[in-house]
This record gives sequence, C-alpha cells and structure tokens, in this order.
Amino acid sequence: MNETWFEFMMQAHRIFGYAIMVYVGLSAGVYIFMYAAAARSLWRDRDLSPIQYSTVLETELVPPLSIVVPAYNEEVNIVGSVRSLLGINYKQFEIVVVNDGSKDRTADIMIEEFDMSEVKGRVPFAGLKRETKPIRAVYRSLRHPNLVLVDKENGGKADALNVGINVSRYPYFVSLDGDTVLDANAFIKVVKPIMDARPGEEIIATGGSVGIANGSMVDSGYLSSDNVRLSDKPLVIMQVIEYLRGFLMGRIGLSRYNMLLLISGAFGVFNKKWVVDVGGYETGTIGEDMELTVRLHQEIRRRKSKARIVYVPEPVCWTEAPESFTILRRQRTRWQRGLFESIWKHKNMVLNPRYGRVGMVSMPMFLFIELLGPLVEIFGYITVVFGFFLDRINIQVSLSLALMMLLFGSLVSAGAVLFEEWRFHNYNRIRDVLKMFAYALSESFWYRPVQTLWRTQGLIQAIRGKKHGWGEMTRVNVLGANKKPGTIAGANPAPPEKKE
Amino acid sequence: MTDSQFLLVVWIGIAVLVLVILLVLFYLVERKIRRMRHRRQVRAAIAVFASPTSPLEDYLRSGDRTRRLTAPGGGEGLRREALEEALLDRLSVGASETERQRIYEFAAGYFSEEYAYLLGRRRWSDRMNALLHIEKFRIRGLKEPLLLRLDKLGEGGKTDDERFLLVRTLSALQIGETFDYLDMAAERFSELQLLQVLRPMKGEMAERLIRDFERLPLRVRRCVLDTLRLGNVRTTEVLELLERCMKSEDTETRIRALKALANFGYMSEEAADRLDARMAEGDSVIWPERLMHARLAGAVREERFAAHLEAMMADPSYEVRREAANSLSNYRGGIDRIRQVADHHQDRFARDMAVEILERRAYERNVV
Repeated sequence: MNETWFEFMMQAHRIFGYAIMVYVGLSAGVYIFMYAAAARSLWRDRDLSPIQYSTVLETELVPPLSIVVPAYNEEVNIVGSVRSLLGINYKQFEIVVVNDGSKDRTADIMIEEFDMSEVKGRVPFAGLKRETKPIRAVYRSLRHPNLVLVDKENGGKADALNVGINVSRYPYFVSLDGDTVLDANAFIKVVKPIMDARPGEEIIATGGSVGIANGSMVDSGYLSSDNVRLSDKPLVIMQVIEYLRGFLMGRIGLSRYNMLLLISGAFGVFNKKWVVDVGGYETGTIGEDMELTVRLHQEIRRRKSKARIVYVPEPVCWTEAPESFTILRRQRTRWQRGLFESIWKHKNMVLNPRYGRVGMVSMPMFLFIELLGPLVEIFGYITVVFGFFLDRINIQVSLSLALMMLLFGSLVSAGAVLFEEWRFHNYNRIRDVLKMFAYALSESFWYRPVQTLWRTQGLIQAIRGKKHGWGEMTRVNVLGANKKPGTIAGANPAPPEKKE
Repeated sequence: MTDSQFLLVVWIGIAVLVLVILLVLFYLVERKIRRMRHRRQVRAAIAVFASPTSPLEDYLRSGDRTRRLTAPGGGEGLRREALEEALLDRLSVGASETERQRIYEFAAGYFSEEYAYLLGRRRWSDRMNALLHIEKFRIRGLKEPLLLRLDKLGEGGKTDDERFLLVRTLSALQIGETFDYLDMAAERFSELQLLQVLRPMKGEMAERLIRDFERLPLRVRRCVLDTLRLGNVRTTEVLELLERCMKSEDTETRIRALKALANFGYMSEEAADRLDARMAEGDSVIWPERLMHARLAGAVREERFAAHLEAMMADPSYEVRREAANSLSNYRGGIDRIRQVADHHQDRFARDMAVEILERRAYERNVV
C-alpha cells in the first residue's frame, strides 16, 4: 500500500513539475513578446519633441469633452478640484460633478461657490438603459456655463458615473478617479488618437499611463515632468517600477493588437454612444473599469466593427500610492477580486475564437498569468519542497533555475526603467535611476513573494464570495487640488479604496 | 541530458542574464549622464540668449545679424539646439509680427540644411521632429525635400502619421502642391486631421478652396465649411458658397453650412426665405439640423423667425429647445416673449426652458 502511495506521489509530482515548467516557459514567452512589442514602439518614438502637442493645442479643433467627476463626502476638496479642472489646457469641455448622496455639505458648497442655479427643465439624457439611483436635482453654474452639478442619491461610484454619462452633452466623456493628479497636457495627449483615427476607424476608448505622485511636487492640482521626484520609501519605489512595467510593457503590446482589456479608472476617455449601447458601468463590482472595457470588446466583435481601444504610453496622471504594507495589501487583494469578477462574469469569452484575439490571447493571459499566476507560483514552491522530501530534486539545479528566473524577472523590471528613459525621462536624477534599478533587481526577493501571497488571498476571498462595501464609495480627493507643493511626500496617504 | 549538462546550460543562461543586466545598467546610466549634461549646457546657453544684451536679442530688435550669433566653432550642435529652443520659446510667448518675421528669416538660413538632412534620416522621431520644427519656423525653402519625402513614402498604414505631418506642413507653408494631395488626404486622414490641413491655408490657397469647392472630395468640402466658420471669413464669395451649400443634398454639408452662416451673422433674402420654409417643416427635419436652424435664426434676428423659435421651445430635443430659447432672447422684445412662454405655454418643457433662460439672463445682467 505504502509503496503504491509513494509511486502515486512520485508520478503526481512529476506531472506537476512538467506542468509548471510548461507554464513558466509559456509565460516567459508572453513576457518576451510584450517586451519586444513595447521596445519596438518606444524605440521608434524615443526623444520625440513635445511640440507635437503644442501645435494641436493651439487649434480649436480638439473634440469637446465632458469630464465626469464623481464625489462623495468631498466638502474639503471639491472646490479646489473643480477650480483646477476649470483651468485645464483644453479648448472645449464641460465638467459634470456628480454628488453621490454625500452626507456632508459637498453639494451646498458647490452651489454657493460657483453660483449654481437649478436646471428646472429636462436635462440632456444620453439614454442609458441601466437604472440609476434617483437624481434629486441638476444645477448649472451661472458663472461657468460649462459646469454642472448633479445631486443624486447614494449608489456608488459606478452609479455616479452612469448618471454623469446620462447628463453629459458631448460625444466623448472622461472618467476621473479619486486621488488623481493630472499632467498639465493630459487631455490633449489622450485625445490625440481620437483626432488621428483613420476614416472608418473609430476610437471608442483611450487611456494613458498612470504614474506615482508620492515624493513629487504637485502644484495647483497638476504635476509636470519637471516636478517628478522618486520617493525614498522602498515600498513606493517598488510600485513605481511595477506601474512602469505594467503600463509601458504590458499595455503597448496589447493596444497594438487591439486586445487591451483595461482602461484605468483613474483617467480614461470613452465614446459615450458606445458606452451607452453596452449599458454603462456595472454597479456593485470592484473592477468596473475593466468590466466595461471587456464589454466594449464584446460589442466590437458583435458588430464586427473596426473600432479600437487605444492606450497612449504618455504619462497622463499621477496617483498617490499606499506607503504601508497594510494599505497596499488591502488594495492588492481588492484588485485581485476585481480581476476575478471581471473574468468570471465574461468566462464565456476565455479561449472562445468568436472573440478573436481578445478571446484567444488577452482573456487567457489575464486568467492564467494575472489571476492564477500567484496560485501556480505557490504550487511551484510546494512542488519543490515536496520534491525535496521525495528526493526527486537536485538542489543545485533547482537553486540555479530559481536564480535564473529571479534574474529574468529583474531584467524585465530593469527594461521598464530603460523604456521610461527612452521616451519620457521623467526621473532626471542619476540617484533616482540607480535607486530604481537596484530595487528592480531586488524585487524578486521581497516584493514579489509578498505580492504573490496577497494576490492568492484576494483570489481565495473572491472565490469564497467576499462582499465589498459599495454603498460607500471611494473617498474622492480628485486631482489632489488641495495639495501644496511637497505635501504629498509626508502626507498620510489616504487609502485609494474604501474600507471593506 | 544529465544533471550536470543541464546545470551547465542554466549557468550559461545566468551568465548571459547577468551580462545583459549589466549592459542595460551601463547604457542607462551613460545615456542619462550624457543627456543631463547636454540639457544643462543647453539650458545655460538658452539663458545666455535670453539676456537683454545677447546677440539674439540684438538681432530681434534691430534685424542685424552679428557674427556672434551664428559664429561657428566649439559646441555647434549645442548652440543650434539652444537657439532652436530659445526661438520657439519666443514664438510661443507672443513675439511681435516683426520679431516673428525675423525669427522665420533667421531660422530659414540657419536650420534649413540641418532639417533637410534630418528629413532623410532613418530614425522616425528625427524626421518627425524636423517636420514639427519646419512647420513652426515656416521654412518654405524646404519645399522640395518635403515633396520628395512625401512621394517616397510607402503605401502602408504605418507611414500615415508622417504623411499627415508632411501634408500639414506643406499647407502651413502655403505651398500650392498641397492641393495635389487632397484626394489622398480625404481617403486616409481623419476629419480633425483634414481640418488641421485646411485651417492654415491663407490668401491664394484659401481662395482656391472656395473657387474649386465643387471639385474637392466630399469629406474635404465638409471640412472647408468648418474652416471658413473657424476662420471667420466674411466675403461675398464665402456667403454665396454657404448659401449654395444650404441646398446641398448631403445633410452633413447642409448642417455645417448653416453653422457657418450662423457664425457669419448675415444671409441674403433668398436664403432667409429658404430658412423660413425649412423651419416650417418642423420635426420632419432631423434634430441637429433643427438646432442649426435655431442658431442661424438667432444670429440674423429677422422678425419672421421669432414665431418659429417660440414653437421650437417645445421641441422634443433638449438641445434644440435650449438653442431656440437662447436665440429668441437675442431678439428685440425676446425676453418678454420668453416670459410669456414661461407663464402660458401649454408644453411643460417649453415653460421649464423659458424659466431656465430667464434666470440666466437675469444673472448675467447682475454680473455685468
């Protein structure tokens, strides 16, 4: 009996071992492919002059935008945020602030500060089929005719965005997240692909890179590349590298083949008609931004359209990253649950040839590498330990292989730092670059294992169906407009997500 | 493969990875140091050029080029880049017309050769940067290299960004050959790109757009109408063209012509009759066109449209109601008519809109 059992264990271990090797090989292949696509694109564009934007900005030809700003209990920040938005570098836009049933004086302060008067008649209605929480009143500023306030009952961020979409006037809307600091030319950068779309080709959503603002100097709600500094905190530096890698490497390749599954909720431009046609944002989910993007892809395939979802590598906004392990853990487990929800809801798309590249490449990639990756990694460690006890492992070979994988991971991260330098050179101090490089090399030894653990926890929570408090939405500190230069560095980072 | 052979392969892999990582690090730091040093020097040179006693300031004031300004010698590339940036800064902060002319003149002499060389470079960003600068400095002398480059471009979609920038530059430089590329532009460029090509056309080029209007591709024609509106062009020829386009079979052309006419603020009696007739058709006209009818009626302010506007305040479309109320408020006695609507109109939406516009007007009076 014992011997059969032992045989079985040996056999199982062998199969696991091979499966994991195949998995590692495939995912390394995917990384190398993305790396190459990003390198090609960024190498072509390296050192491109920023005057490309000034030429476009000077014209009145930019498409008008509706900027939707959801706000919940924002009496402290909202005026500053709206002020900084009113001053954006863009010709034609409207701002739709949606007060999501705040318990404080958010709406009153807006009304007083901007001389808002109630719009008594019917307001524009985009025709979104999804039901939203009731609107109490709509106000328009008498001083700034392009500023609208919608006062509605509390329904969460997605619901607030849906209401904002419904009352917005222009064919493209911008969704902004809390805690987002804008680049001074953010709008023109993101809108450029829309302006440059070929005849017959429609750009239905665009998004840009998100950077990390901790340590930088934010001035009146904006952050220009001269003021970008690297934080001194290891945890933040690791996230800077992670963001660079995720955006510059991950998304360029996906966008090139129109397989982008995520336009970040922090800052994205969407074609209103398409979003209305697919039913707007899904309420009650965590990853409503990814979920919407996936549905847009579904619709593209259904209509057999040439529409595209495009990513612009340029940094367009900056966000405040968690500086403590507790908050970062909460954020990551939450992201993982959001990812699970989005994939679970659209599981019929995974490996389904009807959905083209999205079904055959990006959905499986998100499922097997992003969602299940951490689990496989943990299985990998367990297999090694078991192998050790079963005496099937050559310690020397295992350790060498592990070292090789660690170095490969570090090279990928170091590559992201290099890409940043080619195209944007935002981090202008040698010290910052060396620091980033050193941390990129160290990632595999501390940051990655912790991430693996958290993401696995997130996955388990999602499978067990952990509920998330959505009645209360993110505490929105839109654009960090209240922040004075330098205050981000030492400020208590408000968690970018709500307590659950 | 035995364990030791496998181990050997792994170690070779590790060695290669370490080597690549070191190379990346070296390249990164070297590039950064070089770039930072270069930028520091360029900034210092720009500061020198910006001082009131600099040869550049001297030239911009007097038009006399001293040898100090263009003196070749050490750091030629650096001086060139600093001059380029200093001149661009000057242009962007609103140089006077004389200064502008002097900048263009100087740039044409000083940068042409370099830009012509860059246009032929393999590196895509070099070519694009050269084009952007040629456009900013209006270097007409580079017409030939530009046309040559445009004709040499492959047919593939990958070259579209460059193709667009080339055509836009030709147009900005007022080069007549731009017209040869309009058919291609209509097929390949987005509407906003077409507008960017048409908008800079001035003088003879702009006249030619109106003269040859019927011969232009449809997409270009629509954009020409927008260009005329944005450029605020007010000539008899333009008025005739816009009124002719009011009768176009293409809805989009009609809408844009109406929009441009509203901006023009005047129309002939015959065109006014036509507007009157169209407004009487009510809901059978699509709403964006109705919206433009309301706007145009508000711009020309002829009494006979007032009744139509009043009726339009009960339009099913919010945008049309708003525009109609806005237009009516510009009429003599318009506010009173709106007040009447607010008090007595049978349609609730019309009453609401009237109240909204009255409130706005009252506020504007208080503020002003």
